[in-house]
Amino acid sequence: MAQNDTLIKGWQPVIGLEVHVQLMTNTKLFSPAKNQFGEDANTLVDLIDLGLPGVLPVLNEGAMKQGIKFGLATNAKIAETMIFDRKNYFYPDLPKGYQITQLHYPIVRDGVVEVNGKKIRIHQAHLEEDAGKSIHDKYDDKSVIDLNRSGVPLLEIVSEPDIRSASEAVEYLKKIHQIITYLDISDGNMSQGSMRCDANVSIMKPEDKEFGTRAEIKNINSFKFVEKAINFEIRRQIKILEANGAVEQETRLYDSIKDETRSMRTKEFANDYRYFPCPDLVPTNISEEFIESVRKDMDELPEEKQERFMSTYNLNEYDAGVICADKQIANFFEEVVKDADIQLAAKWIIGDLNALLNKHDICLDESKIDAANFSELIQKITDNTISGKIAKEVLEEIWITGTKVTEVIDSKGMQQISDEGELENIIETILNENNNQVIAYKSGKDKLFGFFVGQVMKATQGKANPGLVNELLKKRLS
Amino acid sequence: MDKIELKNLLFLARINAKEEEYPEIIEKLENTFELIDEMQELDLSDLKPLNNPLELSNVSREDKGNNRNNKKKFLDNSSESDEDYFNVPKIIE
Repeated sequence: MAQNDTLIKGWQPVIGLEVHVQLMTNTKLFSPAKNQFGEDANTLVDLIDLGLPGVLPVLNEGAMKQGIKFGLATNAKIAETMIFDRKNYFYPDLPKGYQITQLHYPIVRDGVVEVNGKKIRIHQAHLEEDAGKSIHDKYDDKSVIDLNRSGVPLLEIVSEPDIRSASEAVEYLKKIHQIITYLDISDGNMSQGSMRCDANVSIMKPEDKEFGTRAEIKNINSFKFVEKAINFEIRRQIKILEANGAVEQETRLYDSIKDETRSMRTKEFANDYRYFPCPDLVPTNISEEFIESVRKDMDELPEEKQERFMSTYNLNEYDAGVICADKQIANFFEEVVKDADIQLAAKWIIGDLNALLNKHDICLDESKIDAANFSELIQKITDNTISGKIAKEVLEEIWITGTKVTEVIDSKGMQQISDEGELENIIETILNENNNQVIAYKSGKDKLFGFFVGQVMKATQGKANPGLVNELLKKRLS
Repeated sequence: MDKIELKNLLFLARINAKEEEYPEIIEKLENTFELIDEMQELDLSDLKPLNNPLELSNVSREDKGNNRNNKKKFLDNSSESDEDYFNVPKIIE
């Protein structure tokens, strides 16, 4: 049984994820203030975001469309009528004293995504507004508030507890990331907080009929941390239950530095949000026609793009699949191959570039690599200016500094040596210095050919054109 | 409703009531609860839940900006601020 693969010390983890996605609208969910990251504090604030008396929220149609797109992409039901509720709590970054969200009548219900052949159900996705940002390190004795984020539209995507391991949770999260970036409804940038994840984790014995008590882990902001936080939490709960203790239902915070979760509970009693329908917003009907108009406006989905890449660029299924797994990379590829060799570009993107992105656990947008520069790198390999080996060094350099490829090659004298006369001289010197090996080679030790190539490469710091070195060595030694 | 429940409710609503006002508040709230209990007795199984008394569908707006920001005015309107931020009591995690 496949499920048994996910048992840890005889315990079955049960995981559900709540993913908050910041939608890429022009304006906020209920106010006409701009929705943008990284602007000066409190410059993107409207009277509505401040919660001043007498203001009325007006729903942003753009956010509604983006929510519907997500629903359509996950084969979900789109609400005929959705209702906004008030979730009441006091916190300084929430001036109104309530967050407008959707509890019982969300925009999207009953979706499904497939992760490694397994269906993971989406309970619902609902629209809500983000809170402002509290900053604690400006003064010793007080906190400060920036309301630029206040009212930014979020889509909260709630999965069913269908996930059975930390790695499956990561795969699910990557799938959600792929869908939202493909739909262009969010940049999905976890380090900037435009995609945030809470994980509900419990454990049970495989024979148990009911789930165990769950803990909710908040504040997980990278794919890597999702896996670590969940694994830590599973181990913690196993320890408690095996010592005959009881897991408390509580909210815990993941600390990535200490790699642990810890209780966030600060009050004696549970918070009571006293939800009720927001009287400022009457129920919103969504017509079939409206949904159809959104459907027509939807961007290419991953599977469609993969097909196109196979037919347009003549990529094989695997390569097209890897490149199209990430829309940023797919777009990047299309930019790069405007000027560079298609197959070589595919090979370098799938291999070396992907390896760097994985190693540093960032997405392409967060890196210093841009399409024009990367294209230049591929072109320099194609026209023999640099060898593949040197190209790896150049890539490492532009990864760190973002410098232009041509500048890196010029400043470090990395140009490939393709001058026959120069290479012949180097070969001559090496053969003279290694007379014994030459004699051994000529008496049949063919394997020594590689030794000579290696010596030439060493003498030229890897800059010799490998094809030419082979050719010249063969000629000289025959 | 007892005192502890009331205290909790007052805390959640950030209402600062004096202890001697409690009996009066409890009495008023209990009157409201009684009214709700009375309504609960009605058989509404055939009716769809009414979420809003207005039989209207909400209006929406196009996703277009309209900058009504006035940072200085907004900050000055708060009880405490500096040139960039609203200042609030230290929030301890």
